[in-house]
Amino acid sequence: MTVVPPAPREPGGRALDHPEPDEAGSVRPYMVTGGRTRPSGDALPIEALVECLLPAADAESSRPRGAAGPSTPSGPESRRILELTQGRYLSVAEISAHAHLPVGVVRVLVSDLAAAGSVRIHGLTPASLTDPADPTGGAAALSVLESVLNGISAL
Amino acid sequence: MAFPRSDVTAVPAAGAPAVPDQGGREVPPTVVKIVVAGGFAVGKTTFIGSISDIEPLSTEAAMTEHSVGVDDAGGVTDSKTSTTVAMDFGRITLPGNLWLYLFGTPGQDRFLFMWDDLVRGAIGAVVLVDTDRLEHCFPAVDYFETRRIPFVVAVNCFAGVARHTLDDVRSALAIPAEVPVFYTDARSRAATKQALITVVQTAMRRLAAGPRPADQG
Repeated sequence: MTVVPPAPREPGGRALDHPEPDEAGSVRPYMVTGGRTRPSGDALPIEALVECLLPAADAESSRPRGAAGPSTPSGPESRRILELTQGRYLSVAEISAHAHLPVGVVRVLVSDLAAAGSVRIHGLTPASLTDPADPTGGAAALSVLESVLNGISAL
Repeated sequence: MAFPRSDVTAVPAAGAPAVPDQGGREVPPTVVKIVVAGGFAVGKTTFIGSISDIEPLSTEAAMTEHSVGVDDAGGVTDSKTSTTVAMDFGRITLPGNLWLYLFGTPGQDRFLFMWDDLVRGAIGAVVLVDTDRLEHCFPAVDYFETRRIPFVVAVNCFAGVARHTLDDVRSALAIPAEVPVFYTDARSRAATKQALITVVQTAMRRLAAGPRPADQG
């Protein structure tokens, strides 16, 4: 594997918090999640949609604006997710593809961003679609399926 | 990449139409997915690309899973495996603010353990079959049948040539009568559309029929 050079230091000797984006490829993926491979809550579906709740200026600023607010993104990967989901819905899978991050990493980061109030998660698929034994979900699932069927037929 | 958002109406990205609600805010789409399975190089990405609104994307699904299996030397392995596999997918925007994602399964048997994650919440699955390599889709058929996930078997006809009859395929794969088996052409939008329609219809029939007696015992 590639030997990762020591973190660049500022003149004062303090290590920079984050590598430049072009160096991000040399960071092992789970470094950015603190070694975690699972979000704290239920595993986020890969098709779940993510929406950035922060104003564009906050999401795109290269540095967090001070320490104020729980919504400040903490790393370049998180900021990239906020950029990608600015003003549109994007699935976990699409974020993963566009940001060149493994799905598992995106799940963890998105869960953290949601917990911090920086993004909202939408579009969780009704579990009843795969659970015909669920008596409560059947009717709702059938109506979704009817819409999907009509939609595909109209393509 | 980012789009400016005004206070009143959001500006959606291409292919992401916004449906405003009464407050002027866009309503998030309802998301559904269909899984596209089959052996390596059977045409899953071609199938997805024939109908997807977006260029099929590829992502790395890196996962650590506990796995128990038998290795090539006949010994039982019981280990944590860390795997990185490519997974291709596409998206279709449907009327009624619906987004349909098509996810291709990683094409090798040893990644079956990842499918639970992929399949959870899916409408159903298309198993693409290459009749020259019929055995490559055994794991997929087994997988969906065991978990009672609605699926259809689509026999991909390369160059429009069918080398086996559908009855032959059905009996070779031991496909139950209620599972549709049909020819498709992964390059053809019309054929892919028909395959997806058949999956949804199969899922609806399954839902309408309710749990089978076997599920209760």
